[in-house]
Amino acid sequence: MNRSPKFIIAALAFPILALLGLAINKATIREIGRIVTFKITGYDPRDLLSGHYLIYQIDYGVPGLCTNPDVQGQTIYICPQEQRVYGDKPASCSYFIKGTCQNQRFEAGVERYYIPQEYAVRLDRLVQNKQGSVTLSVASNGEAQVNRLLIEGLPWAEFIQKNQEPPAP
Amino acid sequence: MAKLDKLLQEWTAQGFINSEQAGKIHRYESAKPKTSWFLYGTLTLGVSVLGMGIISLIAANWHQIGDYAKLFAAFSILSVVAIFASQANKASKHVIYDVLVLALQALSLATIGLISQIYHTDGELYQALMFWTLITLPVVITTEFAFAPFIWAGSFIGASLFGLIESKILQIPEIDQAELILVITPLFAAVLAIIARLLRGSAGIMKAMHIWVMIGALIGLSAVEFWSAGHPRLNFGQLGTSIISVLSLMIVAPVAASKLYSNVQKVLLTSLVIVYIIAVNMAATRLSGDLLGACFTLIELGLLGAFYASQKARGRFNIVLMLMGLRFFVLFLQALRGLAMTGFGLILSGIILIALASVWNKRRHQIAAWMERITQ
Repeated sequence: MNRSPKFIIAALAFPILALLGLAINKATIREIGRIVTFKITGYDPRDLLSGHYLIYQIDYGVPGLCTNPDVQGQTIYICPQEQRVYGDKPASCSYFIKGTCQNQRFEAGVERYYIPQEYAVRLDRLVQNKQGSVTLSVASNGEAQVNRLLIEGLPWAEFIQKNQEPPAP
Repeated sequence: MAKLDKLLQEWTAQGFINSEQAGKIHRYESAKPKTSWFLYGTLTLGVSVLGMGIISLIAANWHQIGDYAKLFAAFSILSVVAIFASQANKASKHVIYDVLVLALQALSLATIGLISQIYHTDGELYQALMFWTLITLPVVITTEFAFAPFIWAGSFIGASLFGLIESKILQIPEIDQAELILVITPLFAAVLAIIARLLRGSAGIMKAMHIWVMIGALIGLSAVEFWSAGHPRLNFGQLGTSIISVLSLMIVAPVAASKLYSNVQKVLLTSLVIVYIIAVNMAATRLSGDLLGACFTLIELGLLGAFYASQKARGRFNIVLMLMGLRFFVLFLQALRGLAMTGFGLILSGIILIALASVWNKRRHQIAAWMERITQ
């Protein structure tokens, strides 16, 4: 195999540059995307690599979303303002979210929010009680990214701080 | 060095070299940098544990620390490790270089976890592993020892096979998907090993690939035997059957076309694939019984052993021989139902094996020449 110094430097730099590119891409969508907020319901599983997270369903306010068997597995665009679904990018909509219908659920890659282990149970309960919502950054091509988790309209950390639970007896 | 000294003494006594040449050879070999397996093993274990610790630390989600601060720390550590690795390579410190590459691998995986945590990405573990194996491939192929490529190959095989299931393109029942994965594993590992060989991978890479071929072979053959012992008819679907066929072709075709393999090795590898496909098909269509399944395993192990013998890979050959011995023992227990009969059966088998080995030892050149002739 090639072990020339130039190849070694390129090989060592490659994963760093690729990861940097990934982080910049994610940061760009987060920073320049349009911020919108939706109500959620969910539960708390665990990821070996990144820790605890909430999985939730977002209520986009579009009736009958992904219930049509013909759209399963297909890429669709939803326009929350018009409460409509489109097969192609809708020109009439001021913003739209791109995703696919999987098992009668709309998935846009924004159905997960990582949380610290010590708050996992409490946040899960709050979200199950329909007190949660998420803010998404939506890019002009419809790609969305999770921005913040809100509990009763407050960032989750602020909510937890303001509503300290009494210690267990 | 003791072995070299003994050889030098022998060669000097035989008059092949004089004492001055023996001294020069001794000085040259003594001056070579020595590989400390203890050092490599200990450092590798240390880095692996450290990597797992960092991943756990990231998984704990330190929400008090700002996102950009966490990313800055991650990329700074990655860069420092890469710079040290480059310096180690320049200084020809291969053990240190390989250990730092392992650290870079672990940190890259941890950074993927960190990015997915910060930006709440909704991907699966196999997707993260696939991305990780793709970005670390260039650096893994520069390593000399087996551990980094072993981890890489295992992750790549696992991510690819789980990706195949998760993509839902197979369109067969879940139980059949799992069984298809068991069948594919050895073929996939063999394809990787052949690609590494054709690209002239280092001894470490080849060792890692061969370990996965052996693990894959054990998985595949165990599955075939399990199905042969009585299992509902298997359905791999059209795509599954196509994947098995394409992978088989990806083993046979490049080997047949390559000058890196002798004709004997080509015959052995092709036979390995053909016998495996026959065994899988017979087990899948319930034409095979438990004894026939065991015979397929023994034939496959025999062919694999002969292939390793042709490569003069003594260690791998001995492992395959040991597996054959174990399978023989279990086969007689299965077939003869009783220790006394098993004892007689094993004695008979032992005599046959010794006779075969003696014939092979006396006639191996004629057999090899005959195989070369029939494959030309």
